[in-house]
Amino acid sequence: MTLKLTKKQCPVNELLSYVRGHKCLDCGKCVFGYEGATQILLALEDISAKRGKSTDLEQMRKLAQYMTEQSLCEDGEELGRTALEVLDAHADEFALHIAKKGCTAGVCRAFVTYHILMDKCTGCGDCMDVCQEDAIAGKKKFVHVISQADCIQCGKCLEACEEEAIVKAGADKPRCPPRPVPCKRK
Amino acid sequence: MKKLETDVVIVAGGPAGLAAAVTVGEMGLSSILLEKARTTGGAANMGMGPLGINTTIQKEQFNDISVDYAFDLHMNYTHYNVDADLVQTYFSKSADTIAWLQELGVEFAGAFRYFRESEATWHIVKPENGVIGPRAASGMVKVLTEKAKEYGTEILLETPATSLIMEDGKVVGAKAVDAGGNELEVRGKAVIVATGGFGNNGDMIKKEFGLTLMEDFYPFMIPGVNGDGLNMMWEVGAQKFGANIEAIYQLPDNMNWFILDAVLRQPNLLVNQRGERFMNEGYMGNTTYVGNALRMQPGNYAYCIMDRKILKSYKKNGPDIMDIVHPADAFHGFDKEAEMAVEQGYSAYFEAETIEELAGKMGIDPETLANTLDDYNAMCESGVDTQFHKDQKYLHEITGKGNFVAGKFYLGAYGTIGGVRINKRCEVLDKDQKPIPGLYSAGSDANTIYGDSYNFTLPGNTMGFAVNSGRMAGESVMDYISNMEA
Amino acid sequence: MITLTIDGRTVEAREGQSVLHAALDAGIYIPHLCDHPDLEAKGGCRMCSVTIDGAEKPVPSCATEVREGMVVDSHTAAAEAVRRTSMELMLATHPSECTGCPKYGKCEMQSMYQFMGVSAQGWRHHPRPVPTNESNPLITHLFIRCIRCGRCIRACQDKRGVKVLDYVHDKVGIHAGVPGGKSLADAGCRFCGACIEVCPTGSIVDVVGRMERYPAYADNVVPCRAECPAHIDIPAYIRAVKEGRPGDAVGIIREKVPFPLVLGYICNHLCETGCKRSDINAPMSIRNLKRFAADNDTEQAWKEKYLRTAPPTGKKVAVIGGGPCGLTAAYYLRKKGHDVTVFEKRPELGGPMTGGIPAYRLPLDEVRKEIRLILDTGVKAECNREITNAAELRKDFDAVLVAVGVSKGRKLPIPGADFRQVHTAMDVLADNRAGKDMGYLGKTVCVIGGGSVGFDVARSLVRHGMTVNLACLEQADKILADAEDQEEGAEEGVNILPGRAFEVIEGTPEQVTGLRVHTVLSSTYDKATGKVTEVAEPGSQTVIPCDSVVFATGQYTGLNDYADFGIKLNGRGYPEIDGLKTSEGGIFAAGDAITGISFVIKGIAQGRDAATAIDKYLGGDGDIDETLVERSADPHIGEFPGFAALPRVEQEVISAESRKTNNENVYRTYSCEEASCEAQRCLQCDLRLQFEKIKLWSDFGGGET
Repeated sequence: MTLKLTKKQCPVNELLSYVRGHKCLDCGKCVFGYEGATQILLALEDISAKRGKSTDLEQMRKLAQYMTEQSLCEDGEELGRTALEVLDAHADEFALHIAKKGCTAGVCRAFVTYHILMDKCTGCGDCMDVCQEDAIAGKKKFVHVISQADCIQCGKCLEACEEEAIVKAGADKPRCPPRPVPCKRK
Repeated sequence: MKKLETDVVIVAGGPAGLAAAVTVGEMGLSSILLEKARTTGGAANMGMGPLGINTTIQKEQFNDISVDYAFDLHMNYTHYNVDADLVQTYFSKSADTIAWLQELGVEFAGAFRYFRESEATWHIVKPENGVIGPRAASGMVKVLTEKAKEYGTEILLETPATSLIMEDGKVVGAKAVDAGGNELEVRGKAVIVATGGFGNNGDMIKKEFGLTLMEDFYPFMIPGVNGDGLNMMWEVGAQKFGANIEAIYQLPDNMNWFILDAVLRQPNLLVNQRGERFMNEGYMGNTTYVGNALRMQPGNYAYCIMDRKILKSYKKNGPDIMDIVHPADAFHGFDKEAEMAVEQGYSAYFEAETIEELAGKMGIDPETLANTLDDYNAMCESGVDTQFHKDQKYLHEITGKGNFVAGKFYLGAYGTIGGVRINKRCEVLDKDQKPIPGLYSAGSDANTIYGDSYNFTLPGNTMGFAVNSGRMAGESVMDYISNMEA
Repeated sequence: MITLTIDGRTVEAREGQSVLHAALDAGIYIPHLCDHPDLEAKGGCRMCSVTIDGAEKPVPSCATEVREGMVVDSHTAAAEAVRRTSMELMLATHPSECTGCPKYGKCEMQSMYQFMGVSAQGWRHHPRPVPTNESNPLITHLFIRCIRCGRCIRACQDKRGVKVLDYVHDKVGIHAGVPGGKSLADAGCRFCGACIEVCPTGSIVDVVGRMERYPAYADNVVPCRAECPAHIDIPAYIRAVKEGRPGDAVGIIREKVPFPLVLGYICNHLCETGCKRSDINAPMSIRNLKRFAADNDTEQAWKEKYLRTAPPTGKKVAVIGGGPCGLTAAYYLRKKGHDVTVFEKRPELGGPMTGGIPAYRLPLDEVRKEIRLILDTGVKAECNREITNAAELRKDFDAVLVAVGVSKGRKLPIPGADFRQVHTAMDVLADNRAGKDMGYLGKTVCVIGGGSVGFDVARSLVRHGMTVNLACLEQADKILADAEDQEEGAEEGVNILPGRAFEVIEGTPEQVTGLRVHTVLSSTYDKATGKVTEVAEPGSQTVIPCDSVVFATGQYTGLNDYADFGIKLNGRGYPEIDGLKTSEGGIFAAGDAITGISFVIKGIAQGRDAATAIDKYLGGDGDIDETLVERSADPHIGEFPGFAALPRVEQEVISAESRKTNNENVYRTYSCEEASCEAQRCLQCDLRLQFEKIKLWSDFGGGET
């Protein structure tokens, strides 16, 4: 099976979904099929969650190659082949993820950051109310600021903001103040 | 009864027995090694490598430590309550032993610390793929086993020794029983006993230390490590001496709850059943100190409390205390394992929305625990632990955000050490401290160099003592046999 | 034969053999984990990867057949890499340390990573915790250690056909297990232990303590056989009964004992205390199956071999005493070709079997049949010959066995013990067995002693219409006789009086009128000194009226009643021995005469040991083991829903009203249906031993690997 990807799709995420739903994870009868699929899944989960390791790409490639040769049935071989294809065709995108630089398609949640735009925020506090992580600092009439350390990218603030002051960002981040400053907009 | 004859009878094939076998083999002596298990190596199969002091490897890493320094450190640590001559002999030999192992074909990945405050004495065996981890020392076991066989050691597996044969005041062999239940008698000119203590023998543990397995004590238990060697040596008059546990701490059944164990042992709020702090949690990397401190608490356990907010920061920024055994990767699996623990009703893991609820689950007076937490959080805020002076970097306020999580850690042990008294020639001494002719002991049965506490600041110590004392015993046996024949 | 090259060596292999087994048989070690010699190879683990004829892609040697001229290399970089990666992948999800594992030191995986020196640290550690399941009898599941090799599943599904184990998919992943979370019993497990035997790791193990009872592995696996003093091959004869071959069952029993009929009636069945089925519901009724077999053995196909003797050795052996021990020794010594004569002081051979044990427990005809067979081998017997000096006898024989048993009864030293109407159990039982008129005991009798001998006396006398009191020092819950004896004795009308101390026998030397006793609240017996300390109940003194008293309070050899028996005796009249040797060369002693009173099966076991010792003394090999029936056991035991719950089948008991009027046996032997029902309850623990033991790397040669 070949994964056909559009520009809007992230190869890391697509391969992850493919492996996650693969038969090999429901079988367990051979080491390369089952443990191989497990390790590829774990690596992809980490890469997608911005926890990839520099060795992951090479290791996955090697493992996928073994899976094509040493699985007990076609399922494992197919998984290996598909993984190899995706890894080879999108090596740059994988490298970008692993280097923690970003997700071009803006799909992998860990690479998306949320920001409150200085010129749109009215300091109403709606976003602060919905944030379960208390990751937003601010007070009345002050531009609110999201602490990237605490943010879990749940997106609730974005939905709560009626001023459209909150935006998602990929590799390019908007300029935001490091701490609450008085609002320009009334 | 089948009768066998050899120069040296070696009781058990752990690192000490194997080192002894290779040593006597190098000098042309024949030996028969009686091993209870189906594989050699004993506890070394789960370990990572032996101690070495002033080795080439350390020098290459600019991590060198002199024998004098290590000796002083160790003797200060033990307050001279141990045999200095034995310590000195062992430490002085350790570099040569590492070189000896390398010559035999053992590769080392380097010299490591176990935790930050320890010295880099731990010579971890290099696995084939070069990435060190648990069980690494099993590669050393293989090399020693093959070498011993090459030198003609007859290794009898699944053949535990049952008693020593004493004639005319000399130990001249051992009796054993094979897997078929047949008894055999193995005679030799000398016997080296190295059965690795009695970490798996609940009755002996109760008798010697007053601890009850799976009640107030959760040690590593290696099947078969039942004190066989000590009992047979005591039977022929060896002095009972210096038995102790190598204290550590862990969650009960921790192999099933490895990630919980790894996360919850971070240096947060450690309280006893009374709801009180009792130590500087900054030392939680030192498993011996914590083990000892737990032994001072009611029930030999304590709760380590944190919350999910702290967990989040560990996931993001890495844990406070790193060690080799508990990888930082593991932290991401915490939630899954915690969910399972709750589902299965695992008794040593706690989750609660409020501190009162947590106290209720632990059976601690809620008011006391709330007060302790308030005091602790105040100290975190001020950045100064006025009670036990924990380093500020470990002071994370515990607000219960995302809920409180806690683990119940018990006193544990790697196993037991000591039981008989040996001198620096590894001769086993009787009540009058006179050597029992023909009887030698090495490894954990004879490891009395720690006094009251395992010296964790020199990691690799137990395996180091095993391999070195095994060699020392082998060399002494050679002398004994030469003198006998002269 | 096929010739191929493996790792540079020329190797011969059988057609159809796998490359892996061709290598292993030739002493070449190749790591392997999911393969088991007794199970179909699957090739799932790839640990046994090899390169064939220089091909690029390594293949699993377990699933590759040998071919003429094939060149196999297990050490190529490609093969090693596959093997290493496989091991690393398995370790990555295995518990990260071996501590706490019950298989430590015996684990195939541990041995293999020791051999390979691998580390899983390069991979993501991802344990799949499964709670330890200790709720099943006999088998503990620790599936956190499962590596999904499928050996247990293949053993359970294919080899055994029981079909309980399968791959289970739960929240954490896949492991071997019982689908649907059922208990083993509910799933139809037959507790054969095949899964335990083939598990390479510590995932399926015997419950703690099960494998540490005996030094020998096989004994722990088959504890019934280990517990039997004569080590009768119990699972094999139960199988023969189940398969409708009672004659073969008897043959199997006769390989170890010459008295299957007797044992079928009266054995104290130590085997049943070992039976693993006790942990599930109740032990097998092994003794009753033995009786069934003996009762239904019509063809006696074993007979010819059984009676066959070795060519004459020219050596003469005398056996003093024709009880179970003496006759057993005589039989085996005769089979070894020696000229054996049994000297028996009573008119009939058999010891307690013909001279003591009452007919309602052991019919005389049955015993006589078995003794007849022993004599048919050519054993000579001289009855009514009391030997008073063994050393004298030794002059005419090359060896002598003292197997005189403990035939003299002992009385307690209380006033009145020497009265005319005060007897020992030995004398009373002998008279009873001989069919004498028991009228001399009067109408009411007091039996002193609550062991099985005491009950034999009491229950026999009830059958003579007497009123019988049985009094003993032990409290009710400590009575020495087994529960059946007590229960059935009481049903038959024996008046049991536990916790009594005996003061004096009342009456005159000519006429006993009663036994004065008091009640004891507790008593302790010091084995070392033989002293009894008791706490008496104040004011409890009473007299039990009776016409006679029978002491069933112990027996002794009587050897020190002779002026000089010719061998050294200890103070209590037992021979001084070293092993079975007495103080005099060529004179041996065995049985109750050295152990004190014991059960028939122990006497038989002693007789076997004596035969071995004497044969060796006479220059033989001492080997008395013999196969009378060829074994075959089908490992495919099949499905059996509800197997665990099968209840123990008891023999029908004849009603107390009816049985106390005669000397018929108290139990009816099993019907064919009952016997096969009971026999099919057997777990067949012995099948586990059919599995070949896996050799680890360290079992191969010297240091050249």
